[in-house]
Amino acid sequence: MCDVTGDPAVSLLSGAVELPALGFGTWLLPDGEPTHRAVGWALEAGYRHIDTAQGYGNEASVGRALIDSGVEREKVFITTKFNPGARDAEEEAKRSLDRLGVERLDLYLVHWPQGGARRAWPGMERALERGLSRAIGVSNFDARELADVCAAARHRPAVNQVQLSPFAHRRALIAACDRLGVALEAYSPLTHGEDLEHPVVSEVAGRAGRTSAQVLLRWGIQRGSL
Amino acid sequence: MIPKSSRRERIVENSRIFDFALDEDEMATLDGLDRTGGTARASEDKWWTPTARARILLGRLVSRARG
Repeated sequence: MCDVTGDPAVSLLSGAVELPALGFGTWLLPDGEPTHRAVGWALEAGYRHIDTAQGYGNEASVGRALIDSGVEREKVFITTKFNPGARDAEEEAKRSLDRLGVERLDLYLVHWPQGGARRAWPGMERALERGLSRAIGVSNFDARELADVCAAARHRPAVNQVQLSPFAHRRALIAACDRLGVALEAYSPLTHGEDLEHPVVSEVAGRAGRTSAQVLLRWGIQRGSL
Repeated sequence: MIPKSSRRERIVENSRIFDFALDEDEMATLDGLDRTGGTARASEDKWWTPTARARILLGRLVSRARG
């Protein structure tokens, strides 16, 4: 149906974990049939990386879609995010595993820097050390917050997931991630659809014979973002 | 990159990005669209803060009241 064999999956943690550059995001997909259906279609289309979060309330439907797809668990990279409004990241990781119906996460992120950059990190490190996730990271961390958590970390974040597109290129943040050895992952790469009709994007898309969405995603691939 | 869509045809479309390439001019043109001034910040709108959440909630209530 489609071909994702060209995905330049990026190695995390010195090659121990391979993260496919293209994933399927599930923010705002309601729990139940809407999530189950969309994740099923994504897996059928060849996506092998699904991104959810405790705060999305749809982990159980993601998990059911994975089982119902018949795709082997080991072939799919699963990310979820700790809701830092909760107390302990390790405890919440166990609850996520139950909801998702898997034995281990591939990536577990602090969803945002609530209570300071370092607040959730000890619980994240415990989750990693106890094997609840193969890798841990953060999301929505500014360069300064990232440096702060790295300075105190026994295990540094493998990833910082932020809103990134040509309209929000954040070069200084990308440079900071590079310096700290943290991979940068892009959410909302399609700008929530708000800039899909921007004349410059439309023009490039027309010339390439592609859609604006494909052009924005291709820009990310060629700029090395996950 | 984690594009989201609830529509099957869009989900398929968004996965077809490994069989073409943008040339240097096209990449440079797209680079010129940045509105953040190359920031070191992760977000222009810290939507997770209590103030922002209250604002978002209020906005939803207002739009619901307006029908």
